[in-house]
Amino acid sequence: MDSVLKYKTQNRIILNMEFSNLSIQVEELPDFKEAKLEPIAKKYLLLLWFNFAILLLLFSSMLIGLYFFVENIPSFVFKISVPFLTLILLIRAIEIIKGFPKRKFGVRELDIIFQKGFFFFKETVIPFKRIQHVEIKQGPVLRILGLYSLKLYTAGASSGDLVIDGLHLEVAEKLKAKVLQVTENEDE
Amino acid sequence: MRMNNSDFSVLQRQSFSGVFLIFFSDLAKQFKRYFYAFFAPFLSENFRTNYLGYLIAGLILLVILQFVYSYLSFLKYQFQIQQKAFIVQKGVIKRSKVEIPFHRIQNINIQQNVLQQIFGVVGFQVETAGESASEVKIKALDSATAQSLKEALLEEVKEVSNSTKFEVDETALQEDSNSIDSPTQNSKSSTLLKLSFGKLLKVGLSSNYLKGFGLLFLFLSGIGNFVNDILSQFIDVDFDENLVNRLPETIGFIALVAFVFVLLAFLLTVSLQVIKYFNLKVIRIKDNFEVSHGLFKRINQVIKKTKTQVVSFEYNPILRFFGINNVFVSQASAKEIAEKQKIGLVGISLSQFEEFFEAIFDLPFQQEFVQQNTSFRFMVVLFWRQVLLYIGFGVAAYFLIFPIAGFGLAFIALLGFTFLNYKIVKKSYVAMNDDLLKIGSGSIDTKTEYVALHKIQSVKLKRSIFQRMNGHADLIIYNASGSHSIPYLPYHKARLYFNLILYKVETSKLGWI
Repeated sequence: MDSVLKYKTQNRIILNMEFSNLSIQVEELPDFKEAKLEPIAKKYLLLLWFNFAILLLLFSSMLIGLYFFVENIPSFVFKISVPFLTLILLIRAIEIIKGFPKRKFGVRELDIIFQKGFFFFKETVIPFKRIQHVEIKQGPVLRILGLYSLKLYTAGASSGDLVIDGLHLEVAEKLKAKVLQVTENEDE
Repeated sequence: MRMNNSDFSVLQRQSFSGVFLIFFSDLAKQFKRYFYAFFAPFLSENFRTNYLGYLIAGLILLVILQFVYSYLSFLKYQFQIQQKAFIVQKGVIKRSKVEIPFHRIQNINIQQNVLQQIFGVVGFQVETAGESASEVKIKALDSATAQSLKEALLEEVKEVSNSTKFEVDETALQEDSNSIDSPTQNSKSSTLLKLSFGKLLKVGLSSNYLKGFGLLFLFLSGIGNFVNDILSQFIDVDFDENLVNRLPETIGFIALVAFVFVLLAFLLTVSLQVIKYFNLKVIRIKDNFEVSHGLFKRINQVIKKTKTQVVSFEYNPILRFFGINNVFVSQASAKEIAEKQKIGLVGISLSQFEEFFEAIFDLPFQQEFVQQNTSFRFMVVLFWRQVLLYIGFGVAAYFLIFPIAGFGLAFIALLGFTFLNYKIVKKSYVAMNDDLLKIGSGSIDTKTEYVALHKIQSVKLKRSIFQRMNGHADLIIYNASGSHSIPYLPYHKARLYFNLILYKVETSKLGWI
């Protein structure tokens, strides 16, 4: 709660000042880039490659099926589709290899941060007090790996919801407890 | 039952003509569901000659059964106002009881569709915060009962909110229930906007101006070809019958067909808009607004200050010429709001918007903002997104008309789209002050969206691999009605806005849904 008070005093300064000064004031605000981030569980990489393998299987069985079971297919179909599908797989593979180390989450005093993505690097921050409820989930493949997903729901439209995949149970529970604790404090 | 019209503490049923309303709407539903099952036998000749009588008898029996069922469901549908909640009991076979505590009631809407108009009843809807399962829709009430039920409920809601004022201080719910007010209290309500038919027509025509221009273009090209045809009749020159020479006729024919299609589409969209916003009325009750519109289906909606998420102010050159604007309001919703679901205050003047703005945001309309525009590099991105289109145009014209036309057409497309892209980038910005976020967008039309800062729920910064190289970022904000993206801001600026928005949300004590 201390930080809120600190925020409040700062707030007053901002309210009183002229707008030409805003950028100077803003630079003194806590920067989300300075938050300490932690990587998600290493095992989650297996799941990403598993999904990749399924995609590979799907594509190759499609091509093989076309080749053996449909007669008189002009060869340009393969000349176009093979490079195209290979390109998709290549992009997926690069995304997994380069993108996995970027999957990180962090908790600040009043909000939670999650970032991911190589081709499109996305950083999302949700203030704790805008979180409606928290859910720890586990899909079938995640169950084999012993990993969990943390889903953070915001009110109304679901586009603002955040899912952090690939957490160990104790980490997920700690995060959930943290969110709930802060939300309760806010309610008081 | 008719005697105690206004005593809602005892169980009440719907208006008796509701039986028929329920019957007809159920029948229509069943008909839709089983249409094919009944229709299929008619295809067989054998069946038609031998069993038609049985089928008709069966149908009549089913209709009678349906009537009995509808009558029972009418009897079993009862509602009442109890100590702390509005209660609805329903269901013939599976009974269910819906209880809505007064403090959860958000909106009360009275509507009338065509069927209800025929039977002289109105629909009564009680909206709660979010969950659609706990919403109540009474299909058939006579208008007087609906009005007194609404008043009775609002009375209760008010009482609850007054008595709990000190317990649940400052929560969103509190503000909500406080702000529900009966529209019959004329002393506090005033008309903000009443759209005349002429103005509505202007709105309809100018909101579809692109189609209108297309129409004009096709019409002119059609006339041109017509004139050409007539001239050639008189001059009587004999060309070789090859494709190039027949082209004008072909184009003329295509233009004619396209003209008819576009004309129909134009008329349809204009008339749909006129029907939708027919007799639009916006009534201000304290800081909330009651909006009603529609020709066949009269829609009644309430814009609540607390539930409002985004106010979007839109105009285009033609609307500007008429001096009118369109305002669309998004409220908190369980689903992403589609363009159609936004509450439209079309044909609003600037001064009316000013009043609306000040009531909804509780701020003076004149606001100072710190603004950040989208970088012009975004034009390059838009170009790459459209490059296939240019190539497509060029190639099509190259083969269909003649080679030089290919380059010409591709070049014209490039010029046209570059102009549009320039407009898009020019009009895209984010601006902020202590209370509000303002987002600009548009191309030929101009759209300005206002979001109260404390209603933002989460923020995202998105950077493609190219944006990381050239120092840009897309800023995306989320609230309870959906998301808004501002493309290609300089990275360090986007980061400042990001931090400032978070700080504002985290220090705010105001309710947001």
